[in-house]
Amino acid sequence: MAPKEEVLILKEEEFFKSPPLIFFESFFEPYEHPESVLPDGKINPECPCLHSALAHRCGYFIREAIKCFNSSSTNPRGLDCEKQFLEHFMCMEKYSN
Amino acid sequence: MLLRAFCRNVRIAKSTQFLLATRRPLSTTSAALGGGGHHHHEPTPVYIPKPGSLDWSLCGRPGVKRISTDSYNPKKDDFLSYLGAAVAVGLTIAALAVYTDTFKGDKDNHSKNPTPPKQKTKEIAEKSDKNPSPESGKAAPPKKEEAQEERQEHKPKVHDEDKPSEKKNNGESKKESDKKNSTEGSEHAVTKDSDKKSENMKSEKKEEKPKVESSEKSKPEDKPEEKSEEKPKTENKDKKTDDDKKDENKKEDKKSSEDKPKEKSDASGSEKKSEKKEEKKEKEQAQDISPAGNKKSDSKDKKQNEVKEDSKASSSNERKLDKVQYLIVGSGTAAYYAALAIRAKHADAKVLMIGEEKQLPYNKPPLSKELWWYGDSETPHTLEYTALSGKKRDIFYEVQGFYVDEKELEETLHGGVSLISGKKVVKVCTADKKAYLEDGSSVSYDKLLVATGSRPQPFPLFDEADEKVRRRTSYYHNVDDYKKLENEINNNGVRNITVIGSGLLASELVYGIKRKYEDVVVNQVLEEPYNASLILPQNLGEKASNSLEKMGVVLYKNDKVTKVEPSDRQINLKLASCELNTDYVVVALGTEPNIEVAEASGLSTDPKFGGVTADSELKVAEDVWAAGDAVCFDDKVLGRRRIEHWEHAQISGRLAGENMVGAQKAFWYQPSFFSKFAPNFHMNAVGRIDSSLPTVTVYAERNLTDNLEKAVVFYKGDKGQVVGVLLLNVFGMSLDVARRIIDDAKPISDYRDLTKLFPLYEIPTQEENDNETSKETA
Repeated sequence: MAPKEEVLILKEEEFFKSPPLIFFESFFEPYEHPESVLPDGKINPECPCLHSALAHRCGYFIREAIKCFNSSSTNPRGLDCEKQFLEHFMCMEKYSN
Repeated sequence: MLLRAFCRNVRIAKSTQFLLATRRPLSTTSAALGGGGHHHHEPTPVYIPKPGSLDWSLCGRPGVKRISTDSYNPKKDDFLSYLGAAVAVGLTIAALAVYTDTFKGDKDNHSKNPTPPKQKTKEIAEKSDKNPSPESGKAAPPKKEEAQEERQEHKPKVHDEDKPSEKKNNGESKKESDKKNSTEGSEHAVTKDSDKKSENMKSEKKEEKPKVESSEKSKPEDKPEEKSEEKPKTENKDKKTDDDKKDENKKEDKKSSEDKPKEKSDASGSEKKSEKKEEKKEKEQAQDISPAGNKKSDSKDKKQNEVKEDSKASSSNERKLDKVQYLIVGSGTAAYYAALAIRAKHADAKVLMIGEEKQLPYNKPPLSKELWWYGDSETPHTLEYTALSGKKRDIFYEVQGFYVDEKELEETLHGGVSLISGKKVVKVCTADKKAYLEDGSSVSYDKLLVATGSRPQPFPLFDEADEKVRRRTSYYHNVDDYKKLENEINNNGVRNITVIGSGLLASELVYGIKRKYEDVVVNQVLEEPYNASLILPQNLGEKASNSLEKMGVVLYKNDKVTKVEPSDRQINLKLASCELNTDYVVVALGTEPNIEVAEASGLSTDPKFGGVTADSELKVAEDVWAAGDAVCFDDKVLGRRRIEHWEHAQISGRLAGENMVGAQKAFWYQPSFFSKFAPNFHMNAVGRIDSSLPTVTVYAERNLTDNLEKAVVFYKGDKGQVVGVLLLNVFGMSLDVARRIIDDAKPISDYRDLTKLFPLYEIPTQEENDNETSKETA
C-alpha cells in the first residue's frame, strides 16, 4: 500500500510570478525570540540566553548584578554596580576549575 | 527522720494558722491602713518564719514534698497529676518518633569516635601508664568537657574547613586548640583526650566499678549502648558519647591480651570489609568515621554489623542528599534544560540530577555530525571541534564547576544544580515521593522529572554471537561508543567498517566516517530500498542514496544480515545477497525509550508509541513530569506523539522545568530537527515527518550555478492539512513559516502556492541573508 506521493516541480518564473495570497501573511509572523537586551538598554532577565548563568551555582550573584544594572540610572548604565559584578566574578573564579 | 519532718510540718501549719489569725486584726486592707486609702496598695506581707523553725538545705525546699490538690493533706499523692505528666511525656516522645527523625538512628555518625581503633588501643595502653594526669581530681565538669571536646574534635575532622564547631565552652576550647596545636595530628589529639578520659575513668572507676562490671559482663551490654544511642540525642548526647567512650576504653583496658588481638583482628576485618566497599564507591571522604563506626559494630551482632556497615559505608562514603526540592532522573539534554528552566523560574532552587552516564551532561548530535565533520586527530580525546564560525567548541553543556557537589547542595544559600553521575534510579515511589537508586540509597523529592531518554534497539544476532565478534561490534549511542569507534580506526587499524541500519543515525554515521576517513571502506546494510525510508518519500530518498554512493559509500540495499561469524581478524557477515568481510560493525537499528523506571514505579506507559504517558503539559502524575525521548505526550495540534530528536529534548525539558515550578503551559512550539547524511543534502524538518503519510514534494528547477537541489516536502494529515514539512537545502525563516502552517491546520488545495512561501529560488537581494544564516540550526 504505497502512500500517495506527489512530485511537483515549481519553475522559477512561476515562483516569482504570482505573489503569495494575502492570507498567507500571517505565516510570516515571526515567533517571539526573546532579546537579550531590551530596547531601553536594560538586560532582559527572562532571556533564555541567561539561563545557564542563572542556573550556575553563582547564579544568585548575576541575578543581583542584573537587578542593579536594570535599576541603575547612571549613564552609561551600570557604573554603580561594580560591587555586584565583582562578587559574581569572584564566585565564578572560585568554581572555574 | 521522716516522721520528725512530718511533725514539724504539722507544727508549722499550726503556727501558720495562728499567725494568720493574729494578723487578721492588723488588717492590711486599704481601708484600714490609711483611711480610704485607695491609693496605697500594699501587698500582703510575706510569711516570715521564726528562726530555727524550718529545715533548709542547699537544694530546694524540703517543705514541699508532694503534689497534692488537697491543702489539708499535703502528703496525699495526686495520682492524676502523675498520670497526666506521664501521658504528656509519652505523647511528646511518640510525636518525636513519628514526625522527626530523632530516633531514626545515627545516620551521619556524628557521635561516633573518629579515631581508628588500632591506634587508639595502642596509644591508650602506652600513655595511660606514662602520664600522671593533673585533672584526675575533677569530677563532674570533666565529663562535659570530654563530650564537648569529642564533638569539637569530631567536627574539624569530618567537616574539614566547613562548619566551625559548636564551641559551648570557649575557655575549654582554647585549651583544646592549644593542645591540638602541640600535637601532630588530630588523631593524636583525640587519643590524648581519650588519655585524659582514661585517666578520669580510672579515678572514677572505683565509684562506677560495680555499675559497669555488671553491665559489661553480658552481651546485652551492647543493647543498652544501642538504646542509649536511640534516646533523644539532643539531651543525652553527652551521656551517650561518654558512655560509649567509657565502655570502649574500659573494654580496652580491662580485656586481656588474648581479647585485644581478637578485637583488633575483628576491627581490621571489618575495616577491610568497609574499605573494600569504600573502594567500590566513589567517595572516600569519611574513612575516619567508618573504621571507628565499625569498631563499634564489631562488638555487636554480626547481622547488625553488616547492616550497619552497609548503611555506614553508603552513608559515610556517599553522604548523600536525602531530600531535594527538584529531582531529575536522567542527565541528558532534557534533564539539563529542565534544570536550567527550573533555576531560572525559581531562584535559589535546589536541583539534583541522577544519571546513569559517567560523563557530565553533553550534546549528542555532534557524535554523528560535527565531531566527524569538523573534528581532528585530537577530537576523540578532547571532544572538541572547530565550528564553522571558527570557535572551538566541545560537546559538554557545562564545566564541572557549574555543578554543586551533592554534599553541599542542602547548605547552599542560593541553591544550585547537583549531579550524581554513574548511578541509576531503579524505582520511584510516587506516594512517598522517594526515588530509590540501584545501590540501595534513596532520595526524597518534592517534584520529579523523568528524563531517562532512550537506548539502542538490540540486535540479538550480535548480542548472542561469539566473543570475537562482539569485540568488533558496537551499538552507537553515547560518548563511549564514539571514542571506541575512533580508537578502532586510529589505533587498531580498522579499514573496513559496516553500519547496519537505514535510519538517520546509520546514514549520518556512514557519511561522517567516509567524510573524515576517505580511505576507509564504509558499507551500509539496509533492509529498505533507500536511506531514511521512514522519513523521506521515495523520490527524495533515492536521490539521497545515490548521492551517498557517489561519495564512495557501499550500500547494500534491500538486504539484511543473516549470519555473523568471526573470520581471521575480521567479521564475516552473511547477507541475503552476498558475503561481506569487515573489520568493525556498528549496529544502528533504532532506539527504544528507557521506561524501566516508569514501569517499576507504576507510571503509565504508552503501548503504541512507547514512552511514559503524559498530558499536554508533560505531566505524568501528581508532582511527576517527563521530558525528552522518553515522554509520549499530547500535542494539541498533531495528537499523541513521542519525538526522539534533540530540539524536542531541549523544548520539552524547558517546558517540563517551567511546569514543575507552576507555569502550567501546554506544549506549543513544534520542535524541528536537522540532518545531513549525503553531500549537498541539508535537511530541516518540523512536525510529523512520516513517509507513510501522503506527501507532496515540490522541487525547484535544478540550479546550475551552485548545484544544490532544493525541495520542500509536505506531509498531509487525514483532513488534507499539512502536518509536517521537510526542507531540503532551504534556509532562512522557513522553519518558522512551516510551524505556522502546521499550527494553522487548514486543508490545503494548492501546494504550489504554499511553496512560494519558502525561498526555493533566491531573490538576488536576499541572497546575502541566506548565506549568513547558520546552516547548523539545531
